Order: sequence, then C-alpha cells, then structure tokens
Amino acid sequence: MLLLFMFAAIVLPEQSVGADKSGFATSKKGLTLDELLKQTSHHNAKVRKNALHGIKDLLEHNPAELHSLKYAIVDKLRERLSDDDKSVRDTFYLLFDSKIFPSCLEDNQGPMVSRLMPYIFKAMAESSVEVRLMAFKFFHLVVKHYPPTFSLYADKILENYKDIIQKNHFYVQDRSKLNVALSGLAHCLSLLPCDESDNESHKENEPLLAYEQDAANESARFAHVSGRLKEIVGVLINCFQDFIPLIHTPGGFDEKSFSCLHHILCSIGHAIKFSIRMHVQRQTMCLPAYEDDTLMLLDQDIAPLVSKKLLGSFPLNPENNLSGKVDERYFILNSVLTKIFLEVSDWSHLHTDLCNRFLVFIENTLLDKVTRSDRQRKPIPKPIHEKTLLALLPSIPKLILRMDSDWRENLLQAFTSTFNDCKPESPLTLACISVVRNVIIPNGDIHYLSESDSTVNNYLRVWVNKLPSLLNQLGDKHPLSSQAVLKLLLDLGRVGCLNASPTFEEDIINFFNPCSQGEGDVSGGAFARLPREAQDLALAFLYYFTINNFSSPLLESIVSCCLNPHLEPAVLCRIVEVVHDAYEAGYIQITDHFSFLTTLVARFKVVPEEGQFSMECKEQETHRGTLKALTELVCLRLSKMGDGSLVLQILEKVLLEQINLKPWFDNGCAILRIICTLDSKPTSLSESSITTLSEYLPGYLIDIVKCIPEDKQNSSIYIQTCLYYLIPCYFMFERSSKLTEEVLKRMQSIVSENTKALESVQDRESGRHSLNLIQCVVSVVLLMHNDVKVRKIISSSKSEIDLILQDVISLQTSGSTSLTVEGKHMMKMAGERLKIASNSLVT
Amino acid sequence: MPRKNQLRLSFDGVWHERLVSIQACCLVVEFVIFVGKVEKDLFSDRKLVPLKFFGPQPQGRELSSSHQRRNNKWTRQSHSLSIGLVKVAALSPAKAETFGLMWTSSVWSCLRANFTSRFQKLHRWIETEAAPQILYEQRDETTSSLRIFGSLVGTSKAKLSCMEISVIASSSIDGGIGSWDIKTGTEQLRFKQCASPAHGLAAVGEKFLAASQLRNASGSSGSIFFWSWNKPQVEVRSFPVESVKALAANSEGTYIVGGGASGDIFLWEVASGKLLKKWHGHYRSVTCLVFSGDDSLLVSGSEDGSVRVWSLLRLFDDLQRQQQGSTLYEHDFNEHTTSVTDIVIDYGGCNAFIVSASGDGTCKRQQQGSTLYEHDFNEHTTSVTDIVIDYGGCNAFIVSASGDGTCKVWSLSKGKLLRNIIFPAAINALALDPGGSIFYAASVDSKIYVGAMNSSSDYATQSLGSVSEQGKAVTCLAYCADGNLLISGSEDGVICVWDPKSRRLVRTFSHGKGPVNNIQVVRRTVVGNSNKAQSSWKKNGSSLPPPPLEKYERSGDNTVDGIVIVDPPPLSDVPVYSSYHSADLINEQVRELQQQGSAATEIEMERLKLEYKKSLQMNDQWQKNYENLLQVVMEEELNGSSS
Repeated sequence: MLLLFMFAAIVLPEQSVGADKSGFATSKKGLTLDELLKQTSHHNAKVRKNALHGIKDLLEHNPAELHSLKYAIVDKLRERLSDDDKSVRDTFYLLFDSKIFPSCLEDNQGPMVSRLMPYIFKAMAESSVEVRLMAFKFFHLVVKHYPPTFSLYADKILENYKDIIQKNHFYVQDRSKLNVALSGLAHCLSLLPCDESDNESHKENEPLLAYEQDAANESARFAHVSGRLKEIVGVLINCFQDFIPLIHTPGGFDEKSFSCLHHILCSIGHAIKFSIRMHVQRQTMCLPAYEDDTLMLLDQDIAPLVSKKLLGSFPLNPENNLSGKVDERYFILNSVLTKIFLEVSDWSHLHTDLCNRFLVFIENTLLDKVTRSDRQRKPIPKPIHEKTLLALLPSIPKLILRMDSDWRENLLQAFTSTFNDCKPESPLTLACISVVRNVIIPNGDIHYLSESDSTVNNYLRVWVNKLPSLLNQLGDKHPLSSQAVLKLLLDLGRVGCLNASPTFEEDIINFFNPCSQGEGDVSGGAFARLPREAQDLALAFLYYFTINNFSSPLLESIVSCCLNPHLEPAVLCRIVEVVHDAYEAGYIQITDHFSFLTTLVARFKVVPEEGQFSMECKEQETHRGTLKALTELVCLRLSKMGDGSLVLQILEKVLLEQINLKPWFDNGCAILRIICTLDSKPTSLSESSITTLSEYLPGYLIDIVKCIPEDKQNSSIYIQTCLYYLIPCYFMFERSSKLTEEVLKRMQSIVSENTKALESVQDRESGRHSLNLIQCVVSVVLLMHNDVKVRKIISSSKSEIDLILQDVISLQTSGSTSLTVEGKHMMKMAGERLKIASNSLVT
Repeated sequence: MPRKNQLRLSFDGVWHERLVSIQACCLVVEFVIFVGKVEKDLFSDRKLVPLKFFGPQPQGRELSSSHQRRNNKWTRQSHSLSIGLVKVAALSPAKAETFGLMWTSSVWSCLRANFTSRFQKLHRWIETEAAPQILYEQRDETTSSLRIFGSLVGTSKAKLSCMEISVIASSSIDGGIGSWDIKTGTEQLRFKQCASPAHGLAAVGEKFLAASQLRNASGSSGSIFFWSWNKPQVEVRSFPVESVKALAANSEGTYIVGGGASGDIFLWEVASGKLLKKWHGHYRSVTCLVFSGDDSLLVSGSEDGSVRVWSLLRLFDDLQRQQQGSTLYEHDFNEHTTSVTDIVIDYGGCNAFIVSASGDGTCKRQQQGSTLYEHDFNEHTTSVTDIVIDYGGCNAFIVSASGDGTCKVWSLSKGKLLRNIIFPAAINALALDPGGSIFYAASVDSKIYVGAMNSSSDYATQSLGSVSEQGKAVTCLAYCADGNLLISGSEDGVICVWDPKSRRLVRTFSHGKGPVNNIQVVRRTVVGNSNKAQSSWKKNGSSLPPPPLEKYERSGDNTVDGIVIVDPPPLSDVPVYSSYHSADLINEQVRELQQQGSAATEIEMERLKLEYKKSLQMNDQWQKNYENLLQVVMEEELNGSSS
C-alpha cells in the first residue's frame, strides 16, 4: 500500500521515457536509481545491501540526483532502518552518514527529518535490541545534523531514552551498546537552552513602543519536559550506581565504561542546569505553571538521590595506583561531578563534609596540585586541566562571596595563583578577568572598599595591580582580553577604587606610550594598535585615571601616543577631547593642558619621511588633513578656555619659541592659526614676538610658493590649498602693519642679496638656487597682490616692492654670466608682472 | 452622529475597578485617550487617519446639572469624569477596536497597582497637558500598530488659561537668569547674580527659581540661590555642606533635590528648608537629576557614567526600616504593578540572595539590605550629561546621554538597556518629543541630532539643524509642549527656538556673551482675583520667601512619620505648597494656628469647619458623579450591544 503510494508520488525520469537507460545516472552495475530503490526492499538481505551500496556509489558520482530526488530516496530508504539484517542496517547508517546528510546541509532539513522520525520511533520500540540501538544511533546522527529535531520531539525522545537506559541490564556486559544510547542522550540534553543570554540576543532589535509579541520562545517549548527530565535523572543516577563497583575495582575501568560514565554525568548536569534555569525563569517571567513543575532539586524523590547517591560518591578515586591514562579519567569525572555540585549547592543544603571534599578538589585544581597518583606525581595534562578550570572559574566569585572566612582565604589564595600563572594567550585569561570582575563588582555595584575583611581587600588589591601589566603582556594580539581588562579598569576608575601603586602607573604609562620600550621598529604600548572599541574604553579609563593619578610622565606618554603616525585621526580627536574634559573638570592643570595642545600642533608630523615636499602628495598619503582637523580642534578648545587675549598672553612665549625653531611649514601654519584665533585687531603681540614672526614669515611664505608646481599655479585647487596657509599671514598683516613692513623688507633684502650673489658667483648650482629664491619672492608678492584686501595692506609698503622690482630689472639687464637665457626670460616675465602690480598699488 | 462611524468606549470589568479606585483616591487630574488595535490590518493604508474627538462636553443629564454651581477647578474635575461620554469617530468602520482611557495622577504610585501588566504591554501613553488638540497618529512600520495621541484637557484648560509660559536660561558665567515669553518673544525680568553649572537651574513650583552656584573659591560649601518670580534680586541664599551641581524640584515645588560633587544627593523640603534626607548616590559628582512625570521617582546621572533610579517612597521607607533596626531588604510594590508571586531565599546565610519575583515582570536579585536604588544603569563609559524620562509612568523609558557619544534607552520596568544609539559626537543635552518615539540630542559639534527609538540602525545621523557655523557646542535643550517648540541654548550665548516638525528656526533670544548651559520652560498661572478665600497661613506662606535650606539632617526629632499627603483641591489656585508636606510641617502649622489669638483661631476654625463641610459635600458629589457616569456608561454599553 505504502509502496504503491510511493511510486505514484515519485516521478522518476524513466517513467516518461520508457525503459531506456541511456541518459540516466547509473551505478557501477548499470542500475538506475529507480531500480536500486526497488531492490532495497528485496527479500534477500544481500541484494538489499548491494542496492544500498549501489545508491551510495551512484550518489557519489551524481550528486545532483540526490538534490532533485531527495524526498523520494528518503521515503524509500527509511524502511531499512528496522531491517532484520545487521549489515544492511550498518550500510544504511553509513549511507546517511557519509552521503545524504552532508549533502543536504544547506537545505531545509526539517521536512526530511519529519519523514524519518516516525520510522525512528518505530525502530526504537522494536523488540530486537540491536534494531533499537541502531535506531538510537541513527537518531543521534539526525540530531547532529539537524539539532532542532530534539526540541520538536523532546518528550517522546526522552521517553524512549529512559526506556532503553532503564533496561540496561540487557547489555550491561557490553558497555559500547549502552554508550550508543548515552552519548545520544548527552548530546540531546546539551541542546536544552541553559544560557540566559541565548534567547536575549535575538530580542535585541525588537521594536519599542509596540505590542509585545506573544510568540513562544525556545524555553517555553521545553517547558513540558521537566517531568520527563526528572525520570531520566533518576534512571541515570541508578545507572551511575551500577558502575560504582567498577570504579573501585583494582584495574580501574576501561575506555568504554569511562565514556558511559562521562555521558551519564554530563547528562545529569545538563538536566539539572536546565531545570534550575526554568525555575528561575518561571519566577521572573510569570510563565504559566505546568503540573509537574517543581524544581528538580526540590523534588522529594530526586533531591536525596542527587545528594546521596550522586554527589555522595565524590571523589572517585582508584583503589590502586594506575597508569596515567586512567588517572586522567578519574580527574575528568570528578570535575564533571564538581560542576554538578556547584549548580546544586545554590539550591539545596549539602552536608559540610561533602562540601569540603568538593572545595578541596576545587582548590587543588586552581593550584594545579591535582596529581595523578601518589607514586607518579605527574600533573594532569594541560589541555584537560585548562578545560576543567574554564568550567569551574565562573563559579568562583559566587563561592568566594559565600564561604566562611577560612575557605574564602584558601580560595582567594588558590585563585591568585591561577591568575598569576595564566599565560596571555590562554583562554583562561579571559575567564580569570571575569572572575576578578565579578568578585570586585558583583551586581554592577562595587564591593572593593566596602568589604570589611582586610584579607579579601589585600587579594583584590593584588589582582587590580596586576591588571595594567597584564594589559601590556596581552599587547595587541588578544583584543578580547585587552578589552575585558580595560572595561574592568574603567569600571574601577569610575568608582574611584584604583588606589594605584607606582608600578600600576608605570604600566599604564607604558601602555599608552608607543615608543617607551621601543627598540628599532618594535613600538612599546599596545594602545595604538588595539581595535577601536578597546581604544575607546582605554580613553574613557584615561579620563578617570587622570583624576587621582595625573603626572607629567603620563601626559608625555599620551602626547607621544598622539604623535604616533599610525593612530587613527578619530582616535586622536577623541584623546584631545578626553584630555580637555579632564582639564575642564579640574583634573589637569591649565599649564599642562596648554603645553599638551601646543606640543601636539607643533610636533605633529604631516609627512612621515622628511624631504617629501610639495603639495603634490595627495591628502590621503600625508596626514595633512588630520593636522588641519587637529588645528581646528585645538583652536576651538583654546578659545573656549577663556578670553582670547589672556590665553594668548600666556601662550605667546611658548608659541613663538616653537616658531623660532623653524618648524615644518604645516606645523608653522597651525601655530600661526592659533595665534590668529586668539589675537584681535590691533594685535596684542609684543615687539619681540613681531620680530620673531617677521624672521619666520618670509621663509614660510617662500616655502608655500615652492610647493606649488609651476604649471598649476593658476588651478583653483592649488590656490585654495595655498589660501589655507596664507590666510593666517594675511590676518597678521592686517593686525600689524609693522609686521607687514618687516616681512616685505626682509623679502626685499633676500632679493637684493641674491641679486648680488648672482652677479658675483659663477657656480651654476648656487646660481639657480638664487634665481629660484628671487622667483619665489616675486610670486609671494604677486600672490599677496592678488588678494584685494591684502593689496590694500601692502600698498603702504610700496617702496619695498619697488625695490624688489628694481633688483629684478637690474638683474635682467646685467650681463652676469651665471644667468642663463632661460633665467633671463624668467626674470623678464617676473619683472613685467611685478611692474603691473606695483603700478596698480598706486591707484 | 452616524452610529456607523462611531467607536464606543468599552469598559470591561477591570475598567470599572480602576475607576472605583481612582474615585476613591480623588486624585484624578488628567487623562489620555489611546486607541489600541486588535485586528492587524484595520487601518491598512498608511495615511494619517483624521480622528475627531467630540466632547468632552458633558452630555449626561445629571452631570450637566451638577455642573452649575462649580467654580473652575471643579469643572475640570468633572471633565475628567465625563470621559465616558467622549465620542470618537474614526474613518474606518469599527471592527474589534478596543478603546480605552488612561488615567494618570499626580500620586501615581497609589494607582499603579491597579494596572495589570497586560495592560501595560498594550499601551503607552502620554500626558495630555501637552496640547489642546490631537497631536498625531503614529504608526509602527514594523508591527503595523497604531497609536493615537490626543488630549481632551485642552478645552478645559483654555478656560483656565491664564497660563504664562516662559523660557528661562542661565549661564556658567555671571549673566544672571534671562527669561522670555515664548509666545511673544519679549524679554522679561532678568534675575541677577547667577552662575550656575549645567542642570543647576530649577523652577520651584510657580513661585520661585532656584539655581546652584558655581562660584565659591573656598570649595568647602556650595551655594543655592532662590529668586522670587517678580524680583530680580536674590531672595534667599542657602549654603549646603558641599558644592551642589545638579538641581531639580518636583513639579509642585515642595521638594528640592541637589546632587553634590561627592556624589551625595540631598533632598530638602522647600517650605521648611529642612534637609529631609541625604544619601550617597554615586561614586562621583552628580551631573543631572530628573523627576519622573509623576514625581515618585528620581533619576540621577553621574560623572562616573552611571544612571540610577530612586524611589522617593522607598528612600524614606528604608530610612524607617533602618531606624527600626531591621536590615531586611524588601521589594517595594508601590513601584511595581502586581503582587509578588514567589520569593526564594538561598542558603548563603547573611550573604544570601533573595530572589523575589513580582507579577509585573521584574525580578530583583539583590544582596540583602544593600542597595537603596531601584536600578543602576551602568553602561556609559564616561560622564552622563543628560537624562530624560518619558511619560510612561512605571513603564517609562529613560534616555540618557553621555560624553561618550551615545544615548541609551532604558526600560524602567525591566531595568535593562533597550537601545544604544551612537551619535557622531558627544551629546550635551536631550529633549524628548511628546510622541515618545523620537528624541533630540544636542551635540558638541553644534548640531541637534534626531534620535529614533525604533530605528533599525544603531547610528543616528539625522540632524535637525546646526546652531552656529563655528562649531560652537549646543549645551542645553528644552521642549515646550505648547505649540511644540524645541528650545536650544549654545555656547555662544544664543537661545534658538525651533519648530521640530518643519525643522525651521522660529526665533532666537540672546542671553549674553557667556555660554548658556541651562534652559527651562516654566509655566505659571497668573493668579486671578477670584480666590480671596485663602487660609491665613497659606497666604503667609506664599508671600514670604522660603527659609534657607539647611546644611545637615536634623537628627533630634525622629518623629517624622514619612510624608503625609494633605488632600488638596487638585488644582488649587496658589499651588506653592499645595499638596505634600512632611508631618512636621503640618504639626507646626497646627501649633501656629493654636498660638494665634483665640478670636482669630476661632474664626479660622469656623472657616476650616466650613471648608470641611464643603469638602464632605464635594465628596458626596463626587460619588454621585461617579454613579452617574457608571450608569451612562452602562447604558451606552447596553445600547451598543443591542444595536
């Protein structure tokens, strides 16, 4: 009946074309898929098996076939699950394991699984033990490939598992058979939603101000299995009891028994964890209660079982000294038991003696003192130990808060040693940091200082003082751990609980300073190389750190961090903002802040390598844009700090000192811009400052002109760029006529000097240099002349311009040998343009 | 009215209960109408649905007759009671629309217990004080739900409206407090001598202005100045123990709360100047303080980046508990909606955790007796710069802004972070749109950004406009619900008034040279001549300035039995010290009364007796009104179901 239906449903290609096999995928033996499928229900086991092999073979060569006929194949093959013949069943399993499931990974496997499930359940209920085991094994395969299967059929599946484990006396002789069922169960139970975070995460973007969706969440789907879980836990504990004699046998137990025990304990652990979680959730969310809904650990039947039979058997110790392998197994089982203990101890009262046994184990694990056995004293292999620690660490804060003072101190001591020992690259670091965090800040509220117990405080202080050095150890290789450390430091800083030791400060300084330990290209602090989020955290921390721990070395290291060419511009701005905020809040002295801002502007390197000159380089290649933004920011901050003229008075000396050093013209421009922002008309700069400026400006102006490639002198982009540099000069000229005069005078003297030099010197090279200088000065004058406002300003110093003109003309007419024809032409051009300009100045 | 297009109010059993409880409290002040949608595609088009509200003219026969003898405040009361008669016409044929009315009250916590969580889930509401007309309809793209905000108070308010709305602003350098009329834009009185920190300006009721002061070189004590509305000189100077930064007063002006530089929070009673309570609120200085809409909760933000929610009721409760020597922490249900469903205590001895759950969906897992605050929101990495709380009562959203360039939206009932919105620059101030789904954020880069609570992206880039060209930071914001105006103040001393809908600048005020760092919208009732019959002490009280705020908590008299509420007419004409007083103050007033000459006392007594009688009558009337209302509603219900 079923078969008939199947054939009706499958439209196999052959039906439309007749029996012609050409063009269809065939197996090695030349059979089409249809034929093979027919053969799978043949009465001869051998034929069936061969047919399955044939299908496997066929699918291997024609993967597309599987996609188009997936359901047809599954519908036919599923009958073989409860085949009488073992080899057929095994082939069947292999076929699904190797071919069908892996190739359907991307598809929606739901429909396929729902076709399989009835047959799996049927097979699970078969009388033959072998068939049943195969059904469980196959089911495990299904769950592995399609985890939601479990949640869809949870109740029925758990019932079946309970059934088979209960009847374990059938196959107590052969552990591997029992193991098949137990491993599947452990896998299923691990799928129970135990973590609060996993269903919070996808709620993230639920719209606000809207009706709440009453959609059932995942845990609600499992709500009804708690009764079933109780039964399972009961059965598992009994099963565990059956193994107890084996544990104490002299030879220890073999691999298979270990695997069984491990699965049993893991399953119990998962079930208990889930039950607790459901219980807590039900209280918080007011979920409707189900009948058998009490917490498993408060259940009259289960609670004594758990505490006496399960936990009571701790620790599992071998009777005799055994080989290392067996010792490891005992250790693993003990650690799983400890995990269960940690879950249970929250909710039920356990005997002190029992608790102590567990605590000793935890302490020894933290201290890494667990030994294999008395004779060998070899430590447990690192990976296993680490894995256990990772599982135990999250519960440490809870234990520390709850234990009496003796145990508390022991645990603190033990944890300190773990924390000190863990390497930056190990995942333990992150776990340890979160322990430190949870001990110090349990519920987002600080516990650090309020704790009256001084021993605890001492430990906490040790931990906190270790954090910065840990930060430096982590470098930029482990951004997640760095971020966790920074977050913790930030939170401590926010509540003012840093009380930093000198080494703490030093480490922080090193963290920011990119070149403190730097030898060669290896830079020091990791700050500049961390991802943006970590940098943001570090800067927020910096703000709070400056409150009590501001020092000039710290400021120096921040400055050198800012000047690091690898720093992102946005981060640079953020640093300036943070420092300014700290200044505004009164944590940084005004002089320190001034020197911070001016140093930044004066020292910021626009071009990484010296010698690259012109504005040819695009903005992206240089940091010119960054400096522009920085200058703007600094100007804004300075003008915010108070009355401009006052600020200028304070800053004048410093800024002009910087000018005296003849900085790179980009930095020069930035300094000039600051002066302009703060200054007013008429200028409030002192005489000596004007002199200094007048010494600097001619060179500055010439530098700007030099940067303009000749052929692009008139392109608007260049003029605009030039304007950025020229405008501060123009402002100054406007504010001080004396400065204008001086600058023009100086330029004139440059021209006359070079004219003289040209007349006397024969050297070609220096001749060209002089000529260039003159050319540049002329360009500067012309540029200034081009600007309507500046034209007015310089018109008062017309005499100087006329002098320049004279020099140029004299050079043009002189018969100097060093002047080439080209040079003469240049001078002629310059002379003519200058003449026009000069004439227009009169009018 | 055509019956077809008429949506009726349906009161189910629960509603009756609510009405009764409100009736019993006599505290109904305002109401809100909302439309809850049940069918998904009822209004399938996305156009604005014009909605008309008829009423709230009382239509019931008895009601209107009971109206005749009433003065202003009484009419207002009956308006809120006559809600049952409000007719709402919508364009689409009514299907399974549920229609309800939401009542808010000035003593919210009394009523809170009556709203089930189911109800809260469904609706958000908004205070109606806002505007005299339907504000707008809002549609959620994602859930296709519809909310309509409207206000019915408008008409009744208009009758009373001798309301004057002014903008006050202060600066961090001594520029005084400027005040302007928002409607005309004319500058009013300028109060002298004020250099306040950000969030340091508060209007105390309708009578006074208070501002904390920056200038004190000594640093040992802070100063808070009071101005009376009609005098430019400082009226009262108080010097608390430490420098106070943030300042806030409840809407009635009975309490003043100040946040100190050390993180302590002070709570003073204005009328007596008494420091009622001082507690350690934060680890670093308090940067802003905000009362919730109903004044029952205080939200504080601090330089340490934390935002904490305090229940005023619980603060005093805890105090009492400590006095009794009990340390047990208890969940206080005044703040939450339904009863506790379960409590579990674990076996940790004195460090035990108590897990208590209540029906409103919150769960507290707190260490025993450790905290005073309701919530501690700790996600900001740097100083909190501003906080706004929306009109959701106990289910409100809190939006906090910080120097780290983010705004975070928190749920008050769930106590957790709902949204994190990242802005391009640090945010200085916030203002909430009355619709509750968008807010405005003033940033240091001189822009006012628009943050949407429901936007899918975490980044907010949309901006309302830029205040100044030079990149001067916008430092403060205020929203004026009358006429829907947004007011911003910036570092260059200019105050701009915006129309947020059209994103246009309406007008500007100039405060002076210094940066403006506080703006407040103050509404004051211009006192008419109608109310002669004031009690003598009240008269005294209103004409005299309040005493200076005390430095220390008084330790001697522990007779304080918390706070009592004197049942006032909800809209008294001189609402300076209207509704809440500490028991001490009342005792004092009683004593005062007794000490006065016998004749005066007797007269006073007579008057009081008369008043008492009046209020008894009133009470009867109320009850009658209620019954009438109930009857009308029932009739409507019956008619509706029969037709």
